[in-house]
Amino acid sequence: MEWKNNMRTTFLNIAFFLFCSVLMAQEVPSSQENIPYLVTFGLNSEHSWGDDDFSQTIFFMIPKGQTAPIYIRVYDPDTGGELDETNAGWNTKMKYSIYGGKGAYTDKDAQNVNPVGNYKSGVLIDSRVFGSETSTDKKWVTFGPFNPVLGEYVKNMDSYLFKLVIDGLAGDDGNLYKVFLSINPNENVSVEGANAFAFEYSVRLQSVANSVAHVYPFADPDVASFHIKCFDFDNDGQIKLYSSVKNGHLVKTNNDNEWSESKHPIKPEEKNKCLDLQIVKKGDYKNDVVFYITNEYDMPVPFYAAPLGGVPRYKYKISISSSAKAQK
Amino acid sequence: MLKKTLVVVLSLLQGILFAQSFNSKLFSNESGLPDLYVYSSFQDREGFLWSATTKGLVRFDGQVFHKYNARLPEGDFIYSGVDDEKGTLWFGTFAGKILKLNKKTDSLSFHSDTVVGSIDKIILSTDKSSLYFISKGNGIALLQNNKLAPLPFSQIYQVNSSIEIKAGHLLLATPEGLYLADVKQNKFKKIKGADFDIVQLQKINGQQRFLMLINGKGIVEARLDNLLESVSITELPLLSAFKDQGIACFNYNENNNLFYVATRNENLNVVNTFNNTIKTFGTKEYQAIANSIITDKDNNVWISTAGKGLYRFYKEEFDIINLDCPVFSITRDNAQNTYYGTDNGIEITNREGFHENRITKLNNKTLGKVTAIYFDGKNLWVGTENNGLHVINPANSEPVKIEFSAIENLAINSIAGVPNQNLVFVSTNLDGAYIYDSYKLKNHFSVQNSLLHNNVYYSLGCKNKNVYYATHNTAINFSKGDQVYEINLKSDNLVSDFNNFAESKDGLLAIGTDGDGVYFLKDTSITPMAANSKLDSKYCNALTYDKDGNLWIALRYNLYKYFPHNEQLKKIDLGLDNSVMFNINSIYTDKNGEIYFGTNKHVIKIKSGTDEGALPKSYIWQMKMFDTVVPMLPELQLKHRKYDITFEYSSLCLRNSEEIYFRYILEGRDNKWSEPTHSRKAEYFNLDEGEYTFKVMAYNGDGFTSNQVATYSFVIAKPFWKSIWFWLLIVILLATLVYFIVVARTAALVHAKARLEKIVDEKTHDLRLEKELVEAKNQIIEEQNKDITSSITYAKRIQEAILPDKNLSDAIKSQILIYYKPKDIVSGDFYWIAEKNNRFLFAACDCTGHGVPGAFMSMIGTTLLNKIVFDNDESNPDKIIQEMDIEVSKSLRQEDTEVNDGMEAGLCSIDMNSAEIMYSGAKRPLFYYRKSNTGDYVLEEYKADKYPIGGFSDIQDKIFTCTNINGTHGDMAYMFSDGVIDQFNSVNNKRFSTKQLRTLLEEAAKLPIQEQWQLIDRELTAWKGKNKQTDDILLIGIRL
Repeated sequence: MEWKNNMRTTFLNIAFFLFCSVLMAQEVPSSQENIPYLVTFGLNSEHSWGDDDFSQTIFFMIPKGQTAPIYIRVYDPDTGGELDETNAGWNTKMKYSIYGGKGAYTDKDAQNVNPVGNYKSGVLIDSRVFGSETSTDKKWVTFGPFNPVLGEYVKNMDSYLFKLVIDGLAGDDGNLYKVFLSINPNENVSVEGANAFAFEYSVRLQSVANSVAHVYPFADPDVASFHIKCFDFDNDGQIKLYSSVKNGHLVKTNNDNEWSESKHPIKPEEKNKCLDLQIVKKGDYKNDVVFYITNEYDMPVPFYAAPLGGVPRYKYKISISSSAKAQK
Repeated sequence: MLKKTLVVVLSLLQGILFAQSFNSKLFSNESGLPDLYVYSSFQDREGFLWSATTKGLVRFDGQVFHKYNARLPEGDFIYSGVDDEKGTLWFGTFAGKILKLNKKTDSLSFHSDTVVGSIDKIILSTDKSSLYFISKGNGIALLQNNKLAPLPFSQIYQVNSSIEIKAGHLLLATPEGLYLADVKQNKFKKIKGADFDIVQLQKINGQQRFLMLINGKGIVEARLDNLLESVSITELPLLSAFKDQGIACFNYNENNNLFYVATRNENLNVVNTFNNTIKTFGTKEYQAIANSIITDKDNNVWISTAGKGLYRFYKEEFDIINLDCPVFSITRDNAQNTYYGTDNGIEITNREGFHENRITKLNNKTLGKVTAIYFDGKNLWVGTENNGLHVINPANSEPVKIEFSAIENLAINSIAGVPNQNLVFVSTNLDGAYIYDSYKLKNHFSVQNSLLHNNVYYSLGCKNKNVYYATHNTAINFSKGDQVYEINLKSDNLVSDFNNFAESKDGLLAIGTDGDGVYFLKDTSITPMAANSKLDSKYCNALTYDKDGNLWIALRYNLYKYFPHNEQLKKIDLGLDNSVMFNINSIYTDKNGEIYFGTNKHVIKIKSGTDEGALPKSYIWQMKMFDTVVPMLPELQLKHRKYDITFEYSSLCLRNSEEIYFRYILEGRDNKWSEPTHSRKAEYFNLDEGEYTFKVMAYNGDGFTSNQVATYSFVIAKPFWKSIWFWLLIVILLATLVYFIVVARTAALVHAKARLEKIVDEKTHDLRLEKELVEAKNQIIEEQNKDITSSITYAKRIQEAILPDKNLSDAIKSQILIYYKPKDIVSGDFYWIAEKNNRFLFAACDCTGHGVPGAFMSMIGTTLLNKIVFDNDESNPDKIIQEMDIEVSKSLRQEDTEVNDGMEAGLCSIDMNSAEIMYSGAKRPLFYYRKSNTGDYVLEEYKADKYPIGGFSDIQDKIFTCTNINGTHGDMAYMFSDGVIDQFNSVNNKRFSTKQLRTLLEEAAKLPIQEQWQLIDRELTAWKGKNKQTDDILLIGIRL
């Protein structure tokens, strides 16, 4: 099992190496995902409000050649104001912790979907707690500058990895926020060649009916199947899986405060690429959901803010020719 | 609180007067910094600055970044450090490792313990017995007695910063508030009143006072209560101005009341809490985000930045005071209020530098342009351009009446004084100089009483009680008492007016001219300043000496500092543009040594004097031998050879290090110190045997040194053949060699001895045998010898029997001397005596040989004589000898045999009555001693025939002659054998000789026969001595 995991990791990493030069998606959530915000609730919240573990972990990958300092910017880190989800008064504190150094990524607990064990592995580089201060409301707050070498160097990615852990401390409010990896402390300027990913997404979907949000899980060469897990979807529409050979395979959904899981075999044509998990919203109300995907070994599969290999498109087997058109 | 607010408001209304000047410098890769990410810095006890960068730990001395290789794995690097003040530096890494640097060995080593997480900071406990390792993500670990133990209660909190507020009590700044850890009690509690996201803490003087940087609030002052339970917070309004910008970190320097606040917009703000001023650096002087800020012992501020390198800031030694008007004169009172003479009265600022008051009128007179102002310790003297002289008490503005010139529109050029002597000198443009003593006019000097000119720019009272006057003239006046004197200084080079004076501690008068630079006057001798040529203008507007004895020269547009000890001139960069001009004699030096210069726009305040901390200390950091680094071990001994050695040295001075220069010497090679050099290495080639000491000193740009000399001694050994041990070794070797030789020879000798002894034994054995044999033979020989001797002895008896009987008659006996000494037992000599027919015949004969053969011959001779004389009845001696010759030949058959024996003989026949003597001799003479009338004897020597009796002879027919002698009774006749004269002397080995015999017999002849025998025996015995008897001896003598 472990060797398979290692193989998975290796191919995953190679994929990074191959495609990272193309990608510039260091915004989480990215515009390609059409997900407005990440969401994390305070520790005293109900899970049914859309957060299974009150914690979120985002990885940022910086290529080795980057020498200029990098910044991790958080939009609206406080829990309060217009954007966030209150529950009878703002009482929530959110802690943002940035880790680097050895084990920040490679520790097995760091790649767990749940904040258990040593999920705060690595070296704590910076950390701040935000309450409901208005000074940061709907503003970007910058962490850093950080020397890229403070991240954990992962050899087969040839990159330094930073881990951002957002923990809901006290309170029962929901914090909506975004994250950006930048080379500028004052504005969002992408780091060339960098990328961002997560193993579990806690997100706020668009409050627009029929809007489509995307999540892009990566199928490594060894994976045989995806086990797509979803929490607290509230039966708010459909979730479909797309790839070059899947044209909207339905993913099992659920009701309030429920988990659903569906298994989807992965075909050879789909391997070494990202698939497109589309969430088609039914209602125009707020909905916070949690997604994660595991392979057949129950190992988490990463989501990319920008799909590796591009947005997957289903390839139709029947092609329409001019003669067929004439016959018609 | 209220006061501060008011001051702030006022300063905002009136404008901030102080413009502090700072020096900033960025150290980056070009400076030798290995990486631009500098996480932290600290200064060790010696003064070196240590910085932790991603690419290594560096030690900075102000000039050189010396990198240390920590041999850490990739991804780890030194992050923090501290000096434990016991000789060890401690460092923490990003990955939690602990290293220490032993200053003696200058090498890094790992401590066995590690910390989980990064070591963001290390704090030395107040009692210096422990170290606290602060890890942001993993709490605090305590190192005590070389053992590391985490403080468990701290690990649940993220510790952003920590200070030891009290021994064993740590304050922890966390995102969730302030906590207090009691290390000894192992207790932990939250401090009330500080429930904030606290980023940084800094301790300040005072009981439990500290500063806190709070996210979203800025920097506040906090004080812990006595129970250590709660904290009271005081906001610092000036510092809260930055909270919206986001403060990255800060540092407060209590020495100069400066806050250095680094904000996240890459600015650095310096807040002076003394005068509540803020100076912001951005872009040009500073643009970075700071990781940490520290202040070193010399008040340099070091900012470790993320990605931009290391900044150094320090407050310049001068301040610019903006008054927005020209300042012509300056003074200060006892309360340290400063009075500035402007073109519109007097501007007064308080101690803090804020506007206090403005005086435009005195004594109901508008002051206008105040050209001179002086505080004498009690009252203020105010001189104007055309509104007279005023003296007032500044405390109550009461005027003081003084006697002064009545000339209208008189301009006061300057006012100076000697405070402890209550003397004040007022210099005017039209009426000379006025001297006041305790407000009474003491002297007024003008052209009326020998002053050279009535336009006096400046007057100065000196230690020698002279008062010097700078006038509109090229000669200098000075007054002593009531007299004015002149020092004529005219020369081709000195044609300008004198503007001002300044007196040094040792009485040297510096003179500022209006176009010829600066001169020095000692007694009456004037010399130009050596550095005049380096001045960019020769118009000297103000002069003063500082407390170090250096001369400050304000020219029209520039300010210089002159160092008399090395005649160096330094231009002071004030950062002002060319429109700023120094006003003439607008200068003031306060009791602290601060100098104020008035210009047309500002006042420049100089903090003069040399900062001891800025004096560089030299050190030797590396030694190379043939371009290879070698450890500089104490008492280094190098083997003998020629060496190329390079010393690399540097200086420890964290300020103005760019101007540092060095001088060095290698004792043992150099005869003198090198010329000043900026180079940091000294190379020596082909160093031979000897003792060497390398010394180096560092000087700052002003030529000052800390006098600390870095030295390193080493020895290049002599060649082994010159060393004592070599010679000792040689001696030992030789001794050993000799010893072994002796031993060997001894052994050989012993062996040889043994061998020889063996041989000897053998030989001895043989010899013993032979000896026995010889003894046996000897025995035989002895017996035979005894037999032979017996035979010979018996033969002697026979011979003696044949010899004429000695027992002759007394009458004959008394007349005959017979001295007969055979050599052996028997003799070859014989004597024959006979009486016949009244004639006495005697013969002395010497037969051939001696011993037995001679004895045989004597037998023949005796027999023949008896036969010839008695049987043949022959009495003539010649006939007798003739017949003996024939008979001997016949007897020995000498014609047929080889027997060559014969005899020599002397024969005398004496008539007893007539004493007639007939003599004949065969090779034996006759000595006849005739008695004279005087009783002496005279010798008559009768020679014999030259052929013997018998034997071979060349003469066929021998004829023997006969000599007749008429004797006289009493005469002596001697005949002798050659044995008498052939006897050798034992001393000189000479023969007795015939001559000596003649003399002897001459003496003997006088004596009776018996005495003659004794005399002859005595003489011959003495002559013979120890020698053996040569031959048979026979001497026969007869007295007639």
